[in-house]
Amino acid sequence: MAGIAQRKIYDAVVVGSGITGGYAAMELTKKGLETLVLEAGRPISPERDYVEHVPPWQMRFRGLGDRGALARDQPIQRTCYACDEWSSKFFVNDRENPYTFDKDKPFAWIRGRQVGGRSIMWGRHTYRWSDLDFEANAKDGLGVDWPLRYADAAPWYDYVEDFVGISGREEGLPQLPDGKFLPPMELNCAELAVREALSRSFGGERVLTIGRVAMLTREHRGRAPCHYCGPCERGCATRSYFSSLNATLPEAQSTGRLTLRPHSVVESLLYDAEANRVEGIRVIDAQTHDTFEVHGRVVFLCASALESARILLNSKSSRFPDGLANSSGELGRNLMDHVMGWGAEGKIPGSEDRVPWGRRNPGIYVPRFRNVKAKHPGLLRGYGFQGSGFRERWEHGLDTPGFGADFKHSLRNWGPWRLSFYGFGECLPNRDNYVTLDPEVRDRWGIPSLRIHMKWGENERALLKDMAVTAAEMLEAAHARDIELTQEDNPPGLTIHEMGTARMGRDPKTSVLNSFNQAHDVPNLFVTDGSAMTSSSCVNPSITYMMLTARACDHAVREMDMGRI
Amino acid sequence: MNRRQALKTIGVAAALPLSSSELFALGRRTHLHVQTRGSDDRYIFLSLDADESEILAAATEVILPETDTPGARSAKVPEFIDAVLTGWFSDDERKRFLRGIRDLDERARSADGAGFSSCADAARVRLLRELEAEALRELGSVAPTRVARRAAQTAPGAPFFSVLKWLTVFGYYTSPAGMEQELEYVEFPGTYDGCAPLRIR
Repeated sequence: MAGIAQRKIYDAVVVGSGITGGYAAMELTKKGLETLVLEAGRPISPERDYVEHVPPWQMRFRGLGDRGALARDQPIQRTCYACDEWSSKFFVNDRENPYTFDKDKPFAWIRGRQVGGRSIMWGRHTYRWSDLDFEANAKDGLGVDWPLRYADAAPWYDYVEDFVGISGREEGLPQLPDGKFLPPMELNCAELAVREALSRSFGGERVLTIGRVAMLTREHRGRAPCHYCGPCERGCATRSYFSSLNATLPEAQSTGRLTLRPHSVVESLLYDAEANRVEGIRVIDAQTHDTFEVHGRVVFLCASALESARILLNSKSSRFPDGLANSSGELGRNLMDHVMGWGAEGKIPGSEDRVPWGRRNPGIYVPRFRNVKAKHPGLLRGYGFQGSGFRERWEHGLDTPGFGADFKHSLRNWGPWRLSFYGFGECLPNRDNYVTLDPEVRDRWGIPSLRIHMKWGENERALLKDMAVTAAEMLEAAHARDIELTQEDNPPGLTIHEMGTARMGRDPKTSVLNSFNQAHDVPNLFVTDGSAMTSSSCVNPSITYMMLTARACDHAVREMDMGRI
Repeated sequence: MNRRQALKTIGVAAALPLSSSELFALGRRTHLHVQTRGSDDRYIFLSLDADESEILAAATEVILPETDTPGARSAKVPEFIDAVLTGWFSDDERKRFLRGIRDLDERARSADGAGFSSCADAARVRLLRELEAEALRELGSVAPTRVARRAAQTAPGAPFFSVLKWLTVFGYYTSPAGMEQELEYVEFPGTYDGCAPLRIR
């Protein structure tokens, strides 16, 4: 129990140290609160654990991954692109962390349990929502209405972006509001050619822009700009991309009011019916399996959409027999994840005498254009594309016939310029996509596992198909050659944007959280990770989670100051 | 506690390296803990016997020969392939690959009377061309897209020649010789230019 006083009542307890837990820790400590952060996983030391500059020849299988170990310990985690020979240590052991699903409803739950959580391996794309997103449920009559609008969110987007540091380019698009950007990373030759082609052919409706990413292009708040070494998901010694470890946790630590306890698996929240508040948190030490309790005046659940739902479902009392703060019955329901994986790729003619210098990890973005101005007859909502222009180096030798000295010499040249579009679509809220506690399966610490029930719906499948069509159209507009469609069959979860399991709403009868991520039922309980999402938009969600977290922290502290919490 | 101390406590590098030489030094220092396991000079083959490793070395050298930069043999590609056979392939996949090596040697013997590792350069090239043509015929119908084609040719279950070429090319271009000498890999580019002039040696 090193490092924490059990009898002590902290001002705040934050569960999780990932992108929202780190943010909550920073906000709450900066506002003067003595804050305890409980992290289920191990501590991470960048000096020891970051491996982005380790060359392939120092890895046993040169980056192919330890196939046997992955098959045995990480059969699910290894399906994530970032779980490679270097980074697999940032993903959980699937045997220690089981969950279940029906055979016909596979779900890929990709998890990182360590200080920093998944903010170490996240994709770093950061896009603001607009009212197109916040009003979507109300207009379509699906799910429940968001209890906030862009006007409520905008100042908080400003606030978090100013700290996080987002590089990007202003495009003036109503569906993807501009933010406070650092200079954009450069587009390469192929991307510039396609950007110009789209502006000629689609009159501003379809726009190719550089990805807006939480990566620095100049020094920002004591963090160095990106040096373009390439594999961000392995760590970043110069702290050029945003993560809890690189930015928020050091900031929280510097207030002197942060206590961070790794190896702390939260089993449940303890409810005091008389006072109607979370009274304590039951924790299992991950290493010793000892159980202990901690206490805080306010509790922030930031454990991820599925883990936070699991903790609440496992927190049963006579007042809340179906899980804490679940009078609505919506806890664990409305699980969403972005539908991804259809698109197209083609060869982009020209610029043969040009190559990229440096390894820019993030690619491009094509903001949503479906159902922005004109209503599409067959689709609700929309999707955006990520992707990139690239020239392969030696890799094109893998499927180029031939061998010998000429073949070897030919690989000094680069393959043709190519450009790929890869779609990410909105997922509709649906009560029938839900999680419960599995009646039999438990994790290594004896905590009931989740049983996940989720399936793509008709609209998600329709979006996928449309992605391949419009991606090919855009490549044709750029006179691409050898266009090939990408048609992946990805299970829900694999996009790692799972959300919605404790949604926000105006009505306590149909939602778990109010407009400040505060549980309708239990005033000193806040849930500010992906759980809170009422709909999913089609853009990468982390900056919105951070925006909501900062806003919720501000509200919580005000309420505490007024004596209402 | 100030920011610098805080960073230290939490274990984040506090220094803010800005020049590429500082970055390089930092990278090397940061990752000193990850080192190659011993020296490859003393590599002991685990899946291949002396004959087999010699046949394999000769075949990889035909695929990526020594030119003005090292070839596959001195880039220790055979050692890498042995490590893959030993720790990455299943028993069946390993046996299949070993059969492929023996078959290559048999073909050399029946054509030229000498084993693959001692037959003439031209004969080696001819034999591998034969195998490549067979592999491409076998793969011919499977792969409609570039990604699928690549996947089909870089799988343990691919025809022997495809596996041999995949592991040779992959092993070579992930070795210090392949990355640093053949391709002048720059570990810390420092900047990004999406349309830099192409230079080919």
